[in-house]
Amino acid sequence: MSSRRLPVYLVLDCSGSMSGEPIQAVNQGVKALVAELKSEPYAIETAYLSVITFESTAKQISPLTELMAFQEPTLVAGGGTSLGAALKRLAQCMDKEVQKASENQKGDWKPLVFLMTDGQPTDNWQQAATELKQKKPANIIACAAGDGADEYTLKQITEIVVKLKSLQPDDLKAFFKWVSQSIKQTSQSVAQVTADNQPINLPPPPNVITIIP
Amino acid sequence: MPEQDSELEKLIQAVCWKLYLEPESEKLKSRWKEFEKAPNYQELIGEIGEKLLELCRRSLNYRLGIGQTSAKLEEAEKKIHELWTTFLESMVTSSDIELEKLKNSWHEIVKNYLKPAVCEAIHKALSSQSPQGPELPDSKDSKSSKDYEKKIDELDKKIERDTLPLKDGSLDKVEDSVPKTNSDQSNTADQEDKVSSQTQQISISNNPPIPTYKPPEQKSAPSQNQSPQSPEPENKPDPEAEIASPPVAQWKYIPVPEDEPDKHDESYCTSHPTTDGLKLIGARVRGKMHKHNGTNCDDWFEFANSGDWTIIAVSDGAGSKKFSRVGAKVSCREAVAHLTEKLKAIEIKARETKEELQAALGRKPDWTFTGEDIDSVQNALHQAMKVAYDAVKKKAKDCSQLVPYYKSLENRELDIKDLSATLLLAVHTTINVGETQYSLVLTCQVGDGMLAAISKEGTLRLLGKPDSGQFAGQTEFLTSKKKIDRENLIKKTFVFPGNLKALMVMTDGVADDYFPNEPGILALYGDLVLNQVIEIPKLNESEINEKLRNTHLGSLPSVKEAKSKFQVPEKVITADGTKEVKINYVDAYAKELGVSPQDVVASPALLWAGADGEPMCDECKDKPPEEKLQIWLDSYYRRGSFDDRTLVVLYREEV
Repeated sequence: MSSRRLPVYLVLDCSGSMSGEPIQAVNQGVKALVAELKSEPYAIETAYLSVITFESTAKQISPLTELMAFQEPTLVAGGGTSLGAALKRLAQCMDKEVQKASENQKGDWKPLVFLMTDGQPTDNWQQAATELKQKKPANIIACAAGDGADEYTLKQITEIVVKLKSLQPDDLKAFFKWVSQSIKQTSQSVAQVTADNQPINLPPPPNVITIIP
Repeated sequence: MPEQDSELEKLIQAVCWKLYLEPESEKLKSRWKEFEKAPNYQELIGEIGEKLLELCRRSLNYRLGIGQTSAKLEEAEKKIHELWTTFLESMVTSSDIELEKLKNSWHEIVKNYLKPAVCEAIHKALSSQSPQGPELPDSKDSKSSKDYEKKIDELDKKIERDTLPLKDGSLDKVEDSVPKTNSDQSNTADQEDKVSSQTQQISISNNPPIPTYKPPEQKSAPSQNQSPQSPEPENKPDPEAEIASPPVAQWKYIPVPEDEPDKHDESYCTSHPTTDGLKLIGARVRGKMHKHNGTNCDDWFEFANSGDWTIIAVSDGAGSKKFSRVGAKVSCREAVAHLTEKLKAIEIKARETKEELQAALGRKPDWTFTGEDIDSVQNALHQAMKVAYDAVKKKAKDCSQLVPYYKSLENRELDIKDLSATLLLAVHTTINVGETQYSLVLTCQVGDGMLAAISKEGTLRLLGKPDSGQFAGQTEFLTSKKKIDRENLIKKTFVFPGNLKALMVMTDGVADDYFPNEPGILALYGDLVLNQVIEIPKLNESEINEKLRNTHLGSLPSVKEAKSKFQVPEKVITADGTKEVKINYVDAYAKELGVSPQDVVASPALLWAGADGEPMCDECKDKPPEEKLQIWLDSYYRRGSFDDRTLVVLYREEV
């Protein structure tokens, strides 16, 4: 009898523009996020994490892993911004890893996806985005980080789009803290029964993050 | 230490003998038997099994081209995989001459590759002297593929261990641990989960010929490493990562808020006298999540008698809705009140033969029952749903203008949706068929949760069909008006005619923990018996021993000895602090016996043998069944299970 898991996917832009301080801050942010989650007993029992990175190609560098066994990857930056490849990879991974409810199997909770990009996509991404928006295989929260990112592009993938003020280490730190709070909040509320298609409740964002209506 | 090494060598040989990698030998046979009797045999053999599985997996992965290790796979694994491929191929194609040739090549592979690889795997599993890095024999692997394989291994371990509520070694751990003031249920969860970031101590002590295996130690506990052996990290964490120990993740206990309207008691249990030698008990408890957050329990249940009828209603308020508990309470009360009234006037007629009953229970194309009396019960159930809906709607309206609710919702008027809850109804009576008397149960359900009946003959019949969405945690509620239309309700109305052993109605907090419900709910019954919530009459000891002889445990004394393998002292967080409650688990008991949980439940002898012994707590000796039910609901552990739990049981005491 397996238990229900909350799958969480972090889809992170590792393009050239992220190199230097930004990618370091992202690495720190992921570490901090994992440490925070490990302090919550319900997150320990339910949260499973995966990291997908994209630059010129997209890779799942950390497959969906239980929180306590999760090892933070070390991200490096360089290359283009293949958002389309990232979305396709995300869809593939979720298809493979997320358990659907069946006669003999408890389904996973609806997955949470946090997508962060700092620039314009450099590949064909529209079709993959439309598919995700239609099928809604997860609750996707997309973040346009800094001036180079276009929040309206992200609106084509999901309704929930936020803008991060800049790629400064403090801002990125605040973003990851908000992500971990969102995961905590979701992992608490999933244990409670909800109606289909209920919009998810996210904690109030810090002032460096704006929710795009 | 050569002396110990040769002991280790001998043990490896004995295991190889068991695996047919050594020729037949009385000496090895007896050494193996000795090993089987070792106190930590189960743990060691588990470790060995896992290492051997890894070996197999790597070989097969090579075949299937999985993972980046294929190019770097050791010679041994490549050769071993040939055993599989060429053997199967030969079965299909080869001539006798080729088979002869193949036999020689297989012999060579077994001697030069398989046996050494197996010995190495067993050695790794048993020894502690070799510092164990990230688990792979091939240290030339790139880091990411190592991590990937390690994760797969750990996931496999998780899945393996998740099938048991017990964590290997955790029992010993709890007994031996340095006393902690705040230890709680998360400890047992943490045990299982901290495989990668933990120190696994495997030591070879001087006296016993068998290496002893110490269970994984919790990182968070302070003075763990006082033992003389130095801990060897089995899974080295990434050297760049901080190895600061995270704050201990503990489940908190915060009482139900005083300042919100409609405060419900944290837990509740009751029983009702019934006719016909059946007992009726029910209990509900606040789940770990609500205790952690200081919110109300959202479950509710009611029952009543009306003439020959027993009426049961169970409801689970939607977690995301602040006042769903109000909806749960109102719908149960109103549904039961309505059924109490309506069923007074419905008498189930006696039938002459079973065939007649069968015919009456048949359903026409529009889903009405052929037997009019039975159909009127179906109608009463459906009406009860509507009555409950109307009552909830009225309650929402009545409260919408009240200040405490308004304020609680941050200045918004209460709406029926804020009272969303599921509803499960069951009614029971007896029916005379010729000379015999049977039970007759009808049920109806909106939302999740489950109703089920176990017959005297031991068969399980699910009497519910939960509404569920694509993902976990999605369901429908009574407050969605279309759900209570007849066309939806008829598909959720079920009937059970027969000799009833137990009827169980529960919210998903319990149903989920016994999934898949077919046959999971049999195990639920098993757990209730093993923990003495439902008592069964003692059988003749020789009968019990007779039955036990066909199992791995063999006799009553062996069952007693093995008790620690299926009984866990769970730590339960209550208003009065942390309590220790001894919980028996039928899955683990069945595993010890070497049978399935269903086999255990089908055998009064096996059940009795497992149940015999100390009750859950000292006070339990004198407690009535409904209180024991409440204690059990509050205490049993399942990973990821922190919802409110409600269970109502209508049962016969004799088996």
